[in-house]
Amino acid sequence: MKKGGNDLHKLFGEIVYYVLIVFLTGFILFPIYWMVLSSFRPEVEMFGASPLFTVRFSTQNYALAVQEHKVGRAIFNSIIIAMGNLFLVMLVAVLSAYSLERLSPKTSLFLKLTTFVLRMMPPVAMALPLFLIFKKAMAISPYLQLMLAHMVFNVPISIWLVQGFVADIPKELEESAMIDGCSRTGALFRIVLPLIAPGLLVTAALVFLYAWNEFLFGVILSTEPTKPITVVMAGYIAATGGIRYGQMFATGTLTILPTMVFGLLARKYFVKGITLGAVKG
Amino acid sequence: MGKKKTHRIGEVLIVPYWTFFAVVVAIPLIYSFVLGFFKWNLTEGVPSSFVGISNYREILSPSSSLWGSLRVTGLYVLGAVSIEFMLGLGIALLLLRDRKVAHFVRGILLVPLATAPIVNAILWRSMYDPSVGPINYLLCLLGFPRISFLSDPLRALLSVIVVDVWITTPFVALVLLAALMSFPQDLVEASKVDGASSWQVFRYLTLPLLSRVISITLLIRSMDAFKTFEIIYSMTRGGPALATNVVSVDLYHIAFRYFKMGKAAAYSWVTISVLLIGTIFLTRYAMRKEEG
Repeated sequence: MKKGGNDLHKLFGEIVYYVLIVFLTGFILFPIYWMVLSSFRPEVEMFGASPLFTVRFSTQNYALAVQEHKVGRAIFNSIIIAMGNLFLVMLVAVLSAYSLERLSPKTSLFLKLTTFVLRMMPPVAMALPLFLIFKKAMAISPYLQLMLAHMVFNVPISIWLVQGFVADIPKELEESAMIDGCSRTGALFRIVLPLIAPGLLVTAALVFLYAWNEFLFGVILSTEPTKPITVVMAGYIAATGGIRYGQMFATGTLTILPTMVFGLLARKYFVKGITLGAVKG
Repeated sequence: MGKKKTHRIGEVLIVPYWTFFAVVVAIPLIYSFVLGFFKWNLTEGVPSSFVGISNYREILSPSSSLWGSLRVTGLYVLGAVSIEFMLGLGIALLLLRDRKVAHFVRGILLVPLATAPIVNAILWRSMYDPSVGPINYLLCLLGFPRISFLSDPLRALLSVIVVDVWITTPFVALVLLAALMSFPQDLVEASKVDGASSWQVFRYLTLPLLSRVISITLLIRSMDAFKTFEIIYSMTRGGPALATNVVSVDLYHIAFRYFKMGKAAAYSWVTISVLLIGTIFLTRYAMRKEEG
């Protein structure tokens, strides 16, 4: 009799557990699901329709967003800025991380200090001087301005990540190569880099993602033709004639596409990367 | 001789970092610091004038917007972080039960943290909307009157906190989960054999061992919450009636709505100082607690 009661108790526990898990994932995913779903609704269906499914599936919002709000150009801008920033950040990060890990650990302390100080700063505090400085040096293209601006928060965390990857490689590998006549930089490029390639890829994805998702520097430093997609997204709220929800959701769905791709293609790295980024970023 | 050569390469390789740091970090920071001592209104077209510490006087005076912003920010941080920790701990304990499920679910739970904050903000703003949003749709369906979440001061603050909770709780949960999973399970088993209930195990074994991870994560999360800008600005612009006017938003207004550059620069440094002092204080307090 007692054993039967115990089994029932366990089954009840199992059911509660799975219900909670489903509720949890549902709560987390629903808003995003709703946005993506609504992006496929014609504008008329936006008000008063069930949030769970759409009756009149339509892709007109995407077409309209591209036509009326220049979303295609915005995507192009975001790509340019993110790729350019990625190039600059990886260049600095790889060289610095290797140097810090293998060659000059004293500077590492300085790096940690600056990372800490940067953590104390609200991004707005950094945006202000950058805005003024770049506004004066108008010769630099807004693309370049944004590529540089995003380095502020991307470089420290990238160095930290890559340094971790380099530390995992036993230095005996490079040392034996150098005994055989290889130079230090040769060791870096021919031995270490190939070994940390997966780590570099994850770091690169994070850097790209951060630059792509960024809004504040984007809205302050970009001009009308160079607006990244995040700025266009924000523009819908203040648009004359009211908010075009359909197009806004379409733009939003496009904006989160890189995140989704990263998450789907490289699940394990996605989890690791985002959590590390959140801790150190 | 080999050592000297190594030293050289090290210096060369680190040049890009120093260039980056000087150009993108040091110069803007120094510029901002110096600017704090000038009065410069960008819209008036008048050149800047040196005013010493008058900007700082203005910001720290009783009638300044700083105090209200600090209060709002304090409420926001307190509300958001405490909810995130309580829910996060609960979720971590839930996930502890089955590792495979936890593994599968991790990726999904982190999505809000990885999507662009501006999208999250606008998405939730739309969710809260009385006519378009699904929340009010549900309320209507259940027979309740529609609620306008973002137009009432208290409700707006709570609504904004909810968004931060939605985004960040999974992260807190995963950090706590990782800490919990690194526990020696035999300790738990042993105490259960000795007759301890689940609650007692939790209170006297789990919590103390977790306390270090909790303190560090609390600190990091509080600092980050203090700096929140995009979410709040996109949802409420700091309103209604300054109810969500956190420090970052206040600073943004001074700089990019009123264009008082000198005052904004000074304000930035006041903010940085507040964060620095707060962090040092909290770290000292945490360390003292650990010794005690």
